[in-house]
Formats: sequence, structure tokens, C-alpha cells
Amino acid sequence: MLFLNNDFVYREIHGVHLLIPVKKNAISDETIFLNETAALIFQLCSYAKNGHMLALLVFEKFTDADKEEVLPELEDYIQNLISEELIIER
Amino acid sequence: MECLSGEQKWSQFIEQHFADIRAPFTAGMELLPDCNFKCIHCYAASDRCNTISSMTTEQIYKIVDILVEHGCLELYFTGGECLLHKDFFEIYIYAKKKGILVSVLTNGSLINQKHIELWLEYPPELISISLYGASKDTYEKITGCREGYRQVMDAISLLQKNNIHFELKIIGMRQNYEDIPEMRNFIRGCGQVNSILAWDIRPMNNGDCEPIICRVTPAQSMKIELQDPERRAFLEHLAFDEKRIAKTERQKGGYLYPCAAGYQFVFITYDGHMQSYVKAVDPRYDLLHGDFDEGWKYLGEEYVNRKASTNFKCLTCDKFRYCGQCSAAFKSETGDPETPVPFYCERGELMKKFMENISNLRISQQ
Repeated sequence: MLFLNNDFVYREIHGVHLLIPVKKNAISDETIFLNETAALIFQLCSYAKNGHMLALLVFEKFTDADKEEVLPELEDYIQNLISEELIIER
Repeated sequence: MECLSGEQKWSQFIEQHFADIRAPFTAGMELLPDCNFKCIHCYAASDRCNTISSMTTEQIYKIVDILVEHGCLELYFTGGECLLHKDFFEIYIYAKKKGILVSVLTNGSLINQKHIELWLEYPPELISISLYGASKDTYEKITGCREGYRQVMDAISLLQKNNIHFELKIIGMRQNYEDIPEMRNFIRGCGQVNSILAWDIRPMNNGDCEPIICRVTPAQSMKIELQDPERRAFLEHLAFDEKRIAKTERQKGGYLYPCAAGYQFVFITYDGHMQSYVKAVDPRYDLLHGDFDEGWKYLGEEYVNRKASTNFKCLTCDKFRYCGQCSAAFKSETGDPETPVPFYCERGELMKKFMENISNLRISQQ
């Protein structure tokens, strides 16, 4: 299962997506400003069992993207987020 | 992904992304009316009587939830003295866990190791301490608490030692006037530049004008500011900003509250009233017996959209950019938001002259 590191809270405010640190942590003491793709990743992460599944869930939201090109990029990006422990895999 | 960091980040962020949206992106909340200090200049009438009812902790949680639903990003807790609240720790953590950036406005005297541990684990956006003097005597004169000075100095050491983000601000008044240069030096020694030095003593929020006797004269306030090298440099910098003489959009628009009180800020009092600004005590909205959306709309009509009469001098005044104009403060002191308090006008005149002199000097040097 994937879930957002509970040292952070995801918030969407009038179309702006933010990861706000709640507790002292090793990743970031500053609020993180998310682009649309990153926001989708954090919105969907709790519906996925692993990085590959999350990448597929996010990819489904892109209607005109080239799967062979975009999916590996998404997986890499998600893997980085898991390595950085912004997304926790358990 | 990018991080937001640095001073002023949130005001800039809100302006950049939400300039045209009226929502309570920032808020202040009084947790309780009680205070361990009894400051002679304080506007809070509540700490001088004992028959006050305040919000329950559950009501506070509910209001935090409502603020989050409405987009609140920044919230500061105040009082009274908010650290006196029996559930301060729980309330603070509750707001943090909702994804709010929380600041704490305090007199500093009650900060102890437990608060430090809390703030190390759940970092605050800012701990903002009001500094009242540079000695035990001054503290006693203003706060009625002789130990206050030592307690606050100990608290500042604790915050520094633990690298917790804090600011020190000064409310200048007759009772600490002589101390202000020393207080400013102390604040500079804490590594804080261009700290807040305010002079806006105002009546109590029950209308009692007793605090006004603490106010310095406009000339005294200017003298202190111009003697302070840092403050003087700041004012000289402002003097070269051409925008300082332009009318603001709201001034041009003929609004009664040219500062846009209530546009993106809401203040919640200890008894659950919504105000558009700390000083804007009348009119206000009883949130505990109403609905936030209705209150927000009401404050919008009363403050954001309210137009002034054609007699309102501030809208055409050339000192407007210099005086710290505040229609809500005028109302609490004169009973009429369109009747300026002379202190503001006189200070505006002095500040305008100073800025013009600096600006003219530069032109003649060119």
C-alpha cells in the first residue's frame, strides 16, 4: 500500500496544490508547491499498491499522452518520491 | 515541485495566486480572554473583568475546521495570553495537523521547555513576542508584573538556543519611550532587522478610552524612528519609491475601509465573533449563533464593499500613504469611521514632510 508521509498534509486551495509539513522531518521544512501531475500522484497514491500501479492510475488521467514515453517517466518520478519517503510504501 | 521559502513568502504567494479571490486565507483567533499581564495600554477589556465566557475547545476545533474548508493557510493564535489556555498544546497540534501554518502571538513570559519541545516537533510559522521594556521597572509599570522582564528574557534565550523562529515587536508608549533605543538594540542583537515598532495605542474594545493616555505624541514617535539608524534607512528607502504618492485603488474607489479589511482575513474573538480585522469590533458577526458563510458575506458588505460618504477626508488626503489610516480605529476612538483621530493626521504630516525632504534632497544632488 502507498500513502502520503504523515509528516505532511496535502491541500488543494482554489486550484493550488500544496504539501504542507506538519512535523519536523528530514525531507522539507518548507511548504511544497505541486504542479498538476504531482498533485495527481498525491491524490491517487492511497488507491495504489505500488509505484507501477500509481503510475498507471495517474496515466489514465492523461487522455492524449504516449504511454510508452510517459509511463516510464511517471514511474521514475514516483519511485523518487518513494525513495525520498514523501510517499511511503508498506 | 518547488518549495516556498523566505520572508514574506505567504503574503506574496497569496497575492500571486489568489489576488482576485475573497477568502479567509489568513486568520487570527483569540483562544481566551485571560492574561497573566495587566497591561495599561491593552485594548482587551476582557482581562480586567471576571464575567467573561469564552469558546470551548470543541468550538475552537470546529472553527479551525471551518477555516480550513474555506482555504485558510495561515492562522495565528492570540488572547489574552494564548499560552494560558488549558488545551493550548492540543489546539496548536490540531491546527498543524489540518495543514495550517500556525503562528503564536504571546507576551512570552510563560514559554517553557514544554513549549520548546512542542515547537521543535511541530515547528511554528512564527512565535511573535511583544516586548514592553528594557528593564524590570518598565515591565512592572506597563504589565503590572515585575518578574515579567526576566521571564521574557529567559524565554528569548530558550527560543534562540533551540533555533525556533521568533520575532520581537515593540508597542511604543509613554511608559517605555525612554527604553525604545535599548529595546531596538536588543532586538538587533537577536539578529532581527527592521522589526516592528508600532504606536497604535487604541481604546479598549468595550469603548473605554483609558489606554489612550499611554500614547506618545506624533513628534516623539517620529523622533525615535529617525534616531534609529535601521528605521531611518528603511524610511529613506521608502521615500524613493514613487508609488508612495499614488492613491491606492480602494482610496480611488471611495471605500470606507481603504485597507480592504475583511477581504482575505478574518479575526475570531474569544467569544466566537467574526471580525474583519482585530480593531474592527463594530459591526461584527456572532459565529456561535450563526453560519460562517453568512458572517463572511456580512463582513464583506459592512467592510469590503462599504462606500464612504463624500465628506470622508481620508480619500482625498495627501497624507494617506503616511499616516497608517485605519477607519476601524477611528470608529473605536471617535465613534465615527470617517472622523480621523488627530494622532494619525499629525504623524502623517510629519512623515510626509520627512519623505518629501529626503526625496527633494536627492533630486537637488542629481
